[in-house]
Amino acid sequence: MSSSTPLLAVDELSVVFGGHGSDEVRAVDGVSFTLEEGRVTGLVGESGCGKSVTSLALMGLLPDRGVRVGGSAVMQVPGGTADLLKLSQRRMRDLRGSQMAMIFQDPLSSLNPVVPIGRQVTEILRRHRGMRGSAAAKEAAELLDRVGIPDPERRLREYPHQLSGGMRQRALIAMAVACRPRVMIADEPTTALDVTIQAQILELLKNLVTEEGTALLMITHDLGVVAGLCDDINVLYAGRAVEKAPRAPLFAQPTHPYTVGLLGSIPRLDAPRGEPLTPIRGSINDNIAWTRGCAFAPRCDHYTMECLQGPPDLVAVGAAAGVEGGGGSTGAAAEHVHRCVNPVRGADTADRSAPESPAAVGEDEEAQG
Amino acid sequence: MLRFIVRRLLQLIPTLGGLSILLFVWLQRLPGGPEYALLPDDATAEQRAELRRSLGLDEPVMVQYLAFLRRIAQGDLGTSLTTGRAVTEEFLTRFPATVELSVTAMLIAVTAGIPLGYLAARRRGSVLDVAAVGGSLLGICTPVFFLAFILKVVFAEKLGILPSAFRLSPGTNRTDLSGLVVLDGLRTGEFDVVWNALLHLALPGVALASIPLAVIVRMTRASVLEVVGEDYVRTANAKGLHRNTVRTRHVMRNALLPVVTSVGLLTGALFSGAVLTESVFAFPGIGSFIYEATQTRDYPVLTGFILLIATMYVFINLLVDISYSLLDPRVRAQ
Amino acid sequence: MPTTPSSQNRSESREGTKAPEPADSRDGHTPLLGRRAAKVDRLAELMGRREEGGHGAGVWRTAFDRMRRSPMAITGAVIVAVFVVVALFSPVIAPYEPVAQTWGDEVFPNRSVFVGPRAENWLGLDNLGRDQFSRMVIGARQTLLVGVVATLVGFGVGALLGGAAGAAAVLGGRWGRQVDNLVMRVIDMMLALPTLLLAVTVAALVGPSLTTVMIAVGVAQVPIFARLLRGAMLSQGSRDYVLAARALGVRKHRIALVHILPNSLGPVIVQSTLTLATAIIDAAALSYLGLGNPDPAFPEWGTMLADAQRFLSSAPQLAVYPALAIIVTALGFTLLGEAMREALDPKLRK
Repeated sequence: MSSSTPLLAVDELSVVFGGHGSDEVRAVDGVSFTLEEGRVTGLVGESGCGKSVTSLALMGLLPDRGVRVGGSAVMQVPGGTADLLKLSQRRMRDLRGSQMAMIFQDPLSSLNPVVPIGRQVTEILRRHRGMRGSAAAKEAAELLDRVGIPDPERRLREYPHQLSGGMRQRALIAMAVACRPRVMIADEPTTALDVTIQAQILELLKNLVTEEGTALLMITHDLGVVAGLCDDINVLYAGRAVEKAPRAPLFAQPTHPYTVGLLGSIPRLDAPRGEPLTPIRGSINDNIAWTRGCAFAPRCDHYTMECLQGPPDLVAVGAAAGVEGGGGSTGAAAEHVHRCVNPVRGADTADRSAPESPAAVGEDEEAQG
Repeated sequence: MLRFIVRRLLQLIPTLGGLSILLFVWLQRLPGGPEYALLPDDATAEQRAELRRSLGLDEPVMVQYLAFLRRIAQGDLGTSLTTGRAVTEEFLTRFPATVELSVTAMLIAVTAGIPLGYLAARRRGSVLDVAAVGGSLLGICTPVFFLAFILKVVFAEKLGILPSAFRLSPGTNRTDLSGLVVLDGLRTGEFDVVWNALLHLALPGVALASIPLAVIVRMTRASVLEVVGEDYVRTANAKGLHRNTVRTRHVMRNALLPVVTSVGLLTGALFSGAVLTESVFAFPGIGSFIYEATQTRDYPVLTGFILLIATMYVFINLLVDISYSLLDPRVRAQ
Repeated sequence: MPTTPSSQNRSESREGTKAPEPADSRDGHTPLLGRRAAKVDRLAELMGRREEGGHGAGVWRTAFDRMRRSPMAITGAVIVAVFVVVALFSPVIAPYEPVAQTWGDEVFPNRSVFVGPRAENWLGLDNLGRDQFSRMVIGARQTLLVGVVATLVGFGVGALLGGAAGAAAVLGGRWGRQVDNLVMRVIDMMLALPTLLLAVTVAALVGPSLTTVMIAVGVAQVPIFARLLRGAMLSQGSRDYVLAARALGVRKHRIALVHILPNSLGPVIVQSTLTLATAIIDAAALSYLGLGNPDPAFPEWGTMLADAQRFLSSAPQLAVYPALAIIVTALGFTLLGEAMREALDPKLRK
């Protein structure tokens, strides 16, 4: 385990869809993060914020035409390092499934309906591990067993529609872990499942990470999943990271209004009776271009004139203004960054205090800097 | 599975029964019956009445229909008014020719249509795609008999490289086993006969293939376009499978399902097309005989042939349904 | 985007309840309200650029907008428009009588002497010395008549059968399902007869005439329309708005006529356009089989084509003109229908 060099370092990843000029859509706009062995990194945000596109770009699964991918994603592969975004199609095919695997959102539509489960598991064994015949079948049964599918020999002969939702997702996970990949990407793996099954699947993923030392990139809109699983969290909005931090500081002291909003949208069991949830109003479509200001401003309760004067930068929390009562070591503060000129100071006190005054100071300093 | 087949077979009974009524009534109501078609124009009224009586045409309709049903049950579909031979016999002697022609046309349509449709879908918007889509629209809009005539004039009459009529060149000696010339030739080793028959099949086969080809190209293209966007294809790619594996096992395996259904439905169009194509190429199958029967109002032949064709059509579609359920486990489960 | 204004109002009011903003040094001169207005204006300005489209325009309106940009639809529409205009005004456009064998002494089919295009006869003469152009123009009218009447027959009978079956299946309870079952058996029966053979059967029944062709081709289209409308109605019938209407106590025939039927007509209308093409081609085939209109006073493209086959090797133009006319017209209707189908199909919109 080398903690110094990350397993996968994504730097300034950008994905642009569509033609030229005004038609194009910047789905991902300069996202950076790292994946390390045995750690879970979360990408959090609403649908449409660019998190799935990020994962597809890393896997090289975006369509060939009409897409431009920029930045770099350097991964440690056998025999050195490679930039996933620049590798040839053929080389990527070799890496996919063996070095990096992906688990998708909807387990039913992600499985081929007319091919038995067994075949869908053994084909990856055959492709990357050269196993065939009864050896492959035996290994496939073991894999299903390992992800908690009872009676694996029978299940191998069945078709996806004969399995329950949780079982299908387990089968997909079995395929993903079949070749012990070093990087695993899970794109909303529990969204389509019942709550009880969700917990089981998350537990399974957690065990796989600890046992195998796999680096897991967890993509979700569900902060509950993040809280239980992720070590590092990136909150995305409209294609850019708006806040990133290790789990503890993010939940203890969210600073970006969007993060605060996401946390406010979660029902809590310990909340007083009758307290309404505070959803984020509007939808992800109500944004403005990042080049003109903060994309979240139209939905933000905290936005000021400053927010609309050009793109905000990603800065360390507390770097611009003194963090009042913020505490935490300097290291933690350096790991905790956000993209906001008027951040929330302590989520719980947001409504009581009057943030305008100190924020205005911060804005001024930033504008000068 | 067996229950599925039995249920489908039971569903056929009312369909075929109704069909027999429909045809019987329609053809009974024909104005200017066979007594005008068969007898010379100057025949007397007595002669006409005599003929009607001898054919049983003066009985009440219900009696005639019951007699008709009884005869059908015995495999007797009546006698051709023009040739004097049993309708079933006429059908059986001509049927192999039509089978050979239809199979040829379907093979051409499937072997050319599926790859073309696939390529058009994968290179969406390319010259090939535009040509395939435009060509198939053109194919659907061109009257089959006109295409048949053009082919005949160009390849048989002007260029003289392909024969324009019949199943074999006159004077060809062959051993007849089943009436299927190509198959018989292969079994007996008469390869010159096989080659001769294939040459004769070329033009009518292509003409008859035009509509199924057009439909299959469009169908495959649309189906592939839909399937390549499916999540399971993305999964297959995420597993790093070879391009070929993804293409065959994941894309085509699913994309061909609707095409299989359309092949069954297209056999109907094939029979319609056979009437036109066979008459252009004087191909001695059931199609050209139906054409002649329409000209002479030989209605036992029309009733019998259409009933047989409809029955066959229904059974072919039953077979297609069964094979579909073998290909798609989701259908099998129901 | 309705969320924008309302959400802004909300944010306004929410800020209003907060502690009064201390007028800081920077904005000291600007009144409070003005600052807030400026913020809102700025936001509206930044978002304003994406305000077009997406408003609750009807399905048909959006489909029409989409078709206006589709080259396929435009080509089809132009062909159809030209065809309809020629057909409607054919007596005015045709320079000569279609039956007049004015130049009969210039054409000798048995000696292979034909007259091609020239100044007075734009498309030359046919095998009896009649002006080909006039016959083509008059033929357009007959072809349009056949196409439209056959489609109306197919549409009318098919929609009646399919609509009745669909309505009965959706709203009629057990009894209704029986009716549906019975109608569907009849339709299955008709579907088992290959289109052209069905038409041949009808034509053999009524005898050769234009009416025969129209009825025969129309009858052959009945099962297609019936199945289509029934299927669409069944899928509409399971929608929530039907349930809502039933829960509100709306009478059944009213639900069927006012709610289900209008929402099910899309595919049927598309099919009508496509059927016009099929009808023109099938009519030509029937004419070729000798079941078309034998009256030379009403030349019809199918009959002309069938007649011209005899001279195909010596005077191919006689067959090529009507054949091209049939192909192009059928293509026009097909393009229009396909474009319409694409525009209406939510799955194909991307």
